[in-house]
Amino acid sequence: MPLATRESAPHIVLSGDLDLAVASELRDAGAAVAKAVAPGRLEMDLSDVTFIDSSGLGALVAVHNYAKELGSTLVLLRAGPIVARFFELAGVRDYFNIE
Amino acid sequence: MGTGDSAEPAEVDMDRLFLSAGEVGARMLEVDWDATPLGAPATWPQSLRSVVHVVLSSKFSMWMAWGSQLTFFCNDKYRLDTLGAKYPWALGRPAAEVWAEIWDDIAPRINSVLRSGEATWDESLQLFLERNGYQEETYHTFSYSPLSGEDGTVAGMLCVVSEDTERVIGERRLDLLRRLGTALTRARTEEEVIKATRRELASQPTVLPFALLYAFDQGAGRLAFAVGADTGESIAPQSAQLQDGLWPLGDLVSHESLLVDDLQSRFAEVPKGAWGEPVSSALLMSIGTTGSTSPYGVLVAGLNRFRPFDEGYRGFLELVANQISSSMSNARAYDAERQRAQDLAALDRAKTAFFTNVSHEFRTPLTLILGPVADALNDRTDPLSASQRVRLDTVYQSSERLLKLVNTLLEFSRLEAGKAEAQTQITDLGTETKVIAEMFRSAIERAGLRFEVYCSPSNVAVRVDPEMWAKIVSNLLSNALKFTFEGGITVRLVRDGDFVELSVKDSGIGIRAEDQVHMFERFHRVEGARSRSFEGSGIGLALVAELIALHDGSITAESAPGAGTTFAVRLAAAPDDGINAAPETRVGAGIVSGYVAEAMRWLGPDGELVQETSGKAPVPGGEDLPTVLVADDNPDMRRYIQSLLEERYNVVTVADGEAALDSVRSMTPDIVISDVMMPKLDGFGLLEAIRGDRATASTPVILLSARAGEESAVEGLDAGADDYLVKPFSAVELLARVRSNLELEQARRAAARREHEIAIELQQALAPVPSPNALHLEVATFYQPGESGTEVGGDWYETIDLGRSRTALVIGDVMGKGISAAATMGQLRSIVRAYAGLDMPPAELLEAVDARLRELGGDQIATCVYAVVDAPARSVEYANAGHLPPLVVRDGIADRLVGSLGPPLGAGPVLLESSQVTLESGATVVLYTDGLVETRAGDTDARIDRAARLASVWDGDVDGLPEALVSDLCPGGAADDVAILVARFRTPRPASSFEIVLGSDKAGAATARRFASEVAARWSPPPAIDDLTLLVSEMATNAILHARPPVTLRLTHLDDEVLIEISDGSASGPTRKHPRPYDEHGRGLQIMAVVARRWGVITEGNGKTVWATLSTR
Repeated sequence: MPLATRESAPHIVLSGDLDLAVASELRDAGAAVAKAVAPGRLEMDLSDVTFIDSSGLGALVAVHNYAKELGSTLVLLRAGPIVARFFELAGVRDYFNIE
Repeated sequence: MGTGDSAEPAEVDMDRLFLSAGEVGARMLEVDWDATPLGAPATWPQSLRSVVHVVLSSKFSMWMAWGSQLTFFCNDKYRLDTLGAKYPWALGRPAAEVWAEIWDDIAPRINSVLRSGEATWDESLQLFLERNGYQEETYHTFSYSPLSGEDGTVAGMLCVVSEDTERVIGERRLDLLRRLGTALTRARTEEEVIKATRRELASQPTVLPFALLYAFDQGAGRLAFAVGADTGESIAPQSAQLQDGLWPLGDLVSHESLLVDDLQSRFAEVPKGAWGEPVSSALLMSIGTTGSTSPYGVLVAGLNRFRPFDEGYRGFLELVANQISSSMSNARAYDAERQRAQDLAALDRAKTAFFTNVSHEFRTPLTLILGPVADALNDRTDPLSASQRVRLDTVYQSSERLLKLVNTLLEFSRLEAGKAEAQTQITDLGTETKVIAEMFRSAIERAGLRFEVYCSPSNVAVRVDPEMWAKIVSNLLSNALKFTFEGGITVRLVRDGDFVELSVKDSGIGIRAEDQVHMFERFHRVEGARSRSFEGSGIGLALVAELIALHDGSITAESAPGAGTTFAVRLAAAPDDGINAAPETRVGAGIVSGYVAEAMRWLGPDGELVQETSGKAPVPGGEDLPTVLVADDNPDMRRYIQSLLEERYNVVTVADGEAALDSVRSMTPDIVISDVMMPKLDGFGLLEAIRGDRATASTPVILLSARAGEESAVEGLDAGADDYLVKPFSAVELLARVRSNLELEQARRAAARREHEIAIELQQALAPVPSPNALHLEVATFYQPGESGTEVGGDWYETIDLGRSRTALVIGDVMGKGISAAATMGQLRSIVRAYAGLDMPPAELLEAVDARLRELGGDQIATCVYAVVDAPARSVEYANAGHLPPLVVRDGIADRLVGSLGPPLGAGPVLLESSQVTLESGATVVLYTDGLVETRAGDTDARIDRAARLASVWDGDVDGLPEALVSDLCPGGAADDVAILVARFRTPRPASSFEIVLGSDKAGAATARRFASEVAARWSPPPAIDDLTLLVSEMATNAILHARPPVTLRLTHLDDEVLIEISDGSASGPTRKHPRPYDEHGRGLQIMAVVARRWGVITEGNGKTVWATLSTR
């Protein structure tokens, strides 16, 4: 999973399928960045995400929680229709900070 | 005839004469005169010619005889009136031949005329002519006079005659009718009618030779009298059969009259009446009774054989019969009236005698009560305490009243026996009356009424018995007060010529005309009249009337409902010879005070008959005291009960049933004590009203009654009373009953509350759980509690996975409601599940469940359907224990599954057989409970059909069917619980199945997704790819994370769904969690449940399959 970061406000671009295969990696990387920017804002760009299921969601939730604990804020950007629909199904749309 | 101057006198031309003499003349022409001694008419001497001329031209009836043979001549009138059939034969014959039958009678007369030349005269002589072929009774008035011949000797005779028959006979008939009529007017009873009739009918034996009267008596004829015949003679048997008797009496029931004309052949001996010959015919006539359909009997009237039975004769006899009929009717009515009067008098006497006997028995104990009680009340050395005094006062007053009643009744019986005598003295009636009236003033004014007394100054002297007068005045005043609620009462005593009149006028409720007729009768009480007191045996006015009658006075009443009543008593004034110096008013005073005391008791403290409430100051904490409502029309009883109860309860009293009902509704007392006999609404009516109103239905009611006996108590309890007390009752008893009934009621309420709470809890605990889906069955369920009460019902349903693609569908209904039904339902579910786990066939399973249910005891009954859907076998096998028939819809046609219907569970050993039907894909089974289809209208069958129709046209998801059924069949909600289980059967199309084995590495999710996309692309219509991939991903992820390999993914294309199955080797299935948003894990199944149309888990042996479907529509 390519991860591009901008140093100013850490901006992670996610792409491809966020499923079981990449879930733990996503969680670990995200947690690391969250720790690095804390307290601060951490952005994840979802425009290139082609698939997400509960495994992927679990990872995002983990990062979100971890960031919060550290006083950081995880912000999800540009969620496409697939992701948006999934968030709806999972009932987590209001949980995340989505911009 | 020539016109010559002949010296011969003008001769009568016989031919011309004959020709001009009408019919007779014509006949005379035809007579062969030469054969007679007279020769040809032309040879007749002038004297003969002249006479013949006179006779023939007269309009008066005449006949004549001339010559040696007394040759016969007559004129037209004679031949019409008298000759009859003998004409024209008689003309020119010897008279002796013509009247051979009466020659013995008339010959002497004729001979005397011929000899002596002197005429004869006979008036209304009875002659039996045979002019019409039979012997006929006739009467003629006639004169025979001599006719002189040429030589001056008597050559013949002339008869001038007029027939009197009609008149004579008519007179006789009229006489009989008149005598009969007169005698009958005096006859009152049946016996007198019979006597009078017999006497009068015998008065004219020529007209009525004999007469018999038979009365219909118990199906036979009884001889009431016989005239002209002897009783017992063959013609007059004492008792005659109605049918087949010698007299055809029975025929007279339907006919008015009947002629019997063969008497001599019918009877051995026939009376002759006044004649020498036996009677040959009789007329039978029905003697009726007006106003009744059954006749009294039959009059047999013998007929005079010498008269023709013409209309006149018949008319006469009918008149006789009618007179007897109407008299008999009157007599019968009179007899009935008399009997009734006798019966009434006997009844009256019986009542009085009864009362007398009873009264004597009463007086002794009453005296023994009054005496000692009076002593106790007046005891100064050992005085009573206040509370005891109150009690004994009540005792004394009630006993006094009882004694007064007894005395009144005794007085009556004395009057009746004639033993009472008025002990009169000349009295100053004005003063006397005034004194009596004034004693009532305080009571009348306390009742809020005006009272005016106008008694003339003391110059009205009347001879009266003072005691009786006191009773008369007191009774009238007492009544006036009793029935007057507004306005006033006026007493007036005035002199009116030789009379004295007392009038008592009130502005009360008045008396209806119908009641006025019976006012002075003993034991008459007006029903439903509004009055201050409903006690009294109805004897007062009757006593007054009798007392007045003893004084030779009169009493009248003028009244109209709503307009008041005036009683007026008139007595003869005594001659003014001084009044008793000291009129004894004291004798009357004791009597009067009794009446006054009674009147006072009708009036409450403020003179009105108001709702008496407890007079005490409110007891601290008094609002918490239970409220007792006491209803009784007797003020003493109300006071008594109130005094007993008011220390412990709030007591409210009312005087009649209507007021009681109002109070019950407005203040909802905790308990009601009510008398049974009350005006306006009696105890039973009050009870019915209380029980009929849901708001008040549970109020405890104790009925008080004076009617003793087990039946009355049972009657009271049957009517819904909680308790029944017979007067007299003791204080202890009343208190105990009130307390126990109140406590019972409180306990009931507490228990009801508790039960209600428990029931709610239980209901929630036992609410049917949404069932997991089976792969081959789409299941939809529905449960709605009934509206009647919040008691939990006994309905339940269940789907149980039996493995190997078999699912059990269960629906059941435990009869009854409440905790026990709910508990039984819970137990039954467990039992069914347990046996289902053993995979028993439906019939055996239900039999086993039945056995277990009966073992539980508690007499619970349940209905149940147990159906096993076998997917591989494509069938459903079922058994039904007393439940409504399940429905199955196949190919748009709905059928009832009616096989294998047995009795309900729990009622006795159950023997069932399973039945089976095949299922095609899409077949739908509908199980339901009676709340859906049973209504009070009883049209269950039609409603089942309706549900079936609806199910058969349902083409949507099964999810919506239960609700659709409920809203169609029970739009307003159902009284009973409704439970519905719908299952639609699905078979896969094995040919469209694709499989892949997934590895246990994390990439397996992606692999699964790819596979799914590829497979789906081949299908048309294709499913929603995004959903499919998501679903597959979740299921695969789950399996990879938790399952034991190998994990197989299978995709199958069904009719309108895609089936995704993931099988693995571990038996433990996924449990659905409810992850919170912040949970990292546990979302997989949640997503699956949301996305999939249906999903489930099938466990087989040592593995499981998690499956889900997606709609392709």
